[in-house]
Amino acid sequence: MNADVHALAGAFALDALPPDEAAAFREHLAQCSACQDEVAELHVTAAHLGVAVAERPPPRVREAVLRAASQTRQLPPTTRVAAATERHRPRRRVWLAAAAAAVVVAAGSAGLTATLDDDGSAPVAQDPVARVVTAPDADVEVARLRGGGRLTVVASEQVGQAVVLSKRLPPVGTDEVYQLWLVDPDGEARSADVLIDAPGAANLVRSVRPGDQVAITREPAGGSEQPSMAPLAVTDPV
Amino acid sequence: MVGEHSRRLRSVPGAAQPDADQLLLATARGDEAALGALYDVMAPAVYGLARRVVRDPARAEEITQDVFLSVWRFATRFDPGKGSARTWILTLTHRRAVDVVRSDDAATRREQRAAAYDTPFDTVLEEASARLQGEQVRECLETLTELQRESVLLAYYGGYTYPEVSALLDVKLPTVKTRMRDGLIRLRDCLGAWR
Repeated sequence: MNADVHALAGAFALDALPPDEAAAFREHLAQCSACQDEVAELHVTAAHLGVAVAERPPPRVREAVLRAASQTRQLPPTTRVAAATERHRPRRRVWLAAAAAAVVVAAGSAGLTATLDDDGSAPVAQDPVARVVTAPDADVEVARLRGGGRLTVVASEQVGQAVVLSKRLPPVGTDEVYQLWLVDPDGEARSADVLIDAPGAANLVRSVRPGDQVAITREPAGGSEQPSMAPLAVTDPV
Repeated sequence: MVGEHSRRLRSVPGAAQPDADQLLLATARGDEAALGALYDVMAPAVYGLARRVVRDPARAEEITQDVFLSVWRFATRFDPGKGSARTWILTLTHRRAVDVVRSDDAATRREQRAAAYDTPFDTVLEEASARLQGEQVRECLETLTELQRESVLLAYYGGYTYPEVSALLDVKLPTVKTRMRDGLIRLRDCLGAWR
């Protein structure tokens, strides 16, 4: 990390950067999780300074706020997926071990929140996809594929299902498909069907068990019984 | 009376926290009464901070209204996993107050700068310290070096950019940047503040 840029975290948290430097720092911040953590902590600290000079405002301000609120629509809620619950950490992974280097999971920092429908429309509860996505324990993860593209996986242990969406996967020939797998803690893979790789297509994966990981491979058309290659991407255990 | 008043304010940092989170979550569900209760918990800090930065009580009232209307509108986007409601609201407040100060027209800005230079900066700092009602915060500020404390307070309460602070204190730019960060880190460690 550029030490000079990092030194700006304090000034940034105090809103003391001139506009151009603030913009540059924000750009850096987007890809520096250590900086994000530090800025978050320093914002907490700065807030203490704010509380320390508390002073009661005139009563008319309260009235004005409530009046304005009663006449103002709130932004539609995004569909929030519950923060990741405690993950179960490494176990024996027969098949996955060979592919450890292939695994690039971009899940962001703790407390990951995914916006699943930006238009704010409430998913219908009967829809099996919505059932997974809105489950209280739903956990979302973005996995980048070796060779390009990414998978977004929303899994709910409670519902026992996962929803998989793909984006920008490299096209496969007519004689190949992408196939999804569930991999148990012992490293045994079972097929979760061929991936429908289309914009907006939600692949429903059933029979997800606690500790399962979702993985993807390229297989001959029609799919395989067992994966024929190391996974292109794999998620953390459900 | 004075004693009772300051005791209540002092209790804000610890006591308000869980409530503010809950109230903000309720506000997100369109609960106007929750917004009112959240206002009661947070408004003194919001107004006090805004007033501290912009000075003008009328502008501070406007900022307070703006902030709470934003809180109302954006409550649905609040994620307690990423930080407390209190930090969220005060970060919003400070940014708004600083925007107001900095978007003032050039003439006013020049005037303010002249005034700021006319006022010895210790006066700014003394005034700030005198108004610090959080005992713990005041004690922790004592653990900072003088330059750290001055850098942090002039930026936060004065609404100055770090080049401006550098000019006020007559120290080099990189030094001010470093002192701001080191000062905040020391303050953080002293307060044990993680939320």
